[in-house]
Amino acid sequence: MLTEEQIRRYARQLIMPEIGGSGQSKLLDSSVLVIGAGGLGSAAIQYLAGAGVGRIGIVDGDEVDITNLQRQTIHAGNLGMNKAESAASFVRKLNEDVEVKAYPTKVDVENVREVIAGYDVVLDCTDNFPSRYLINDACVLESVPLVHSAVLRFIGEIMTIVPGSSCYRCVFPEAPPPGSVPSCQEAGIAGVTTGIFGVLQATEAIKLILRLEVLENRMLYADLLTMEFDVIDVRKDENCPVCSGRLKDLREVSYVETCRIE
Amino acid sequence: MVRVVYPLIMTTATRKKEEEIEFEGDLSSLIDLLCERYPQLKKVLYNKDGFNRFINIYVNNEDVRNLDGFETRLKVGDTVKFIPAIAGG
Repeated sequence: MLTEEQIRRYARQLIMPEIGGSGQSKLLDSSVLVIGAGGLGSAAIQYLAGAGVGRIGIVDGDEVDITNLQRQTIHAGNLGMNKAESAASFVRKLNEDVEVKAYPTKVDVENVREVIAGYDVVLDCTDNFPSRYLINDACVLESVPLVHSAVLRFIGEIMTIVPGSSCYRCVFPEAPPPGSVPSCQEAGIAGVTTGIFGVLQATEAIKLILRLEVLENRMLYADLLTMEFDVIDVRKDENCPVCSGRLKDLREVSYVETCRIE
Repeated sequence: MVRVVYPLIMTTATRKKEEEIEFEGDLSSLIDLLCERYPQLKKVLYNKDGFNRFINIYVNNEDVRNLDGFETRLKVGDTVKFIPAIAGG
């Protein structure tokens, strides 16, 4: 049962048919893990907390730097603080309904399955290929729904991976060798791009919790300069080493360079 | 005419984000034509084992792996987009 204060706090979404009282209860009973509290993560976390996702985990081993604040607005006033702690402090200020846990660390082969296993949804908001392949593979192995997004300059992509659907490796079987695709640090990133795609990730997480239609077996690509938004059907690759079930243990994979699985 | 849209990693060679090309044939002949027109493109698109697996090609928003791959026939009005994996966050 919602309290009187909760009825007021969530009033604008409680009157919507897609959410209502039962949807709000689902949100309050749910948990989302956000890996990376950078550009994507800082946008996603704010709206997950606002919507009343009951438990939010935030993973980030980095500290807030002045070059982050052009897009990572959640960290206002927190220069030098660990990003997971900084984002968690924002969540506590915004909404006491949310139980927030900061993991001031990086995910790796040893800890990733354990960290994600207790959550209903994972958002991949990281900024490098090895982490992205690691998180995809771990979420498929643990059967935890994953919302992937990645950005560069004014472009971005997002897809949602659920148990049984195609996975990130079905779209991109392997990562570009280092140096062949520039990073945001090398080529730049518009703050608005991370804002839009981070909020899209939060949207997908909320819809997963509410059991609404998500970007399953589909990838959305957008170029914000031309405002071309393309939704592309992604077919499950029957030979995908991960979602076909062949991979059993992350330790079989070397998460460096192309992250290829032979 | 076929509309070809290039990602950032290809624009260093093409010097443009997109163009309309008078063309008839399949995808692999289009790629050959592009590599001829922009010689630097070859090392962006290929490695020693073949076409880079981190670059997807979509014809009218359909992954060519679900069409006829490099033999996908292109017709007037088609849009071909090259999209590489990106990792920024």
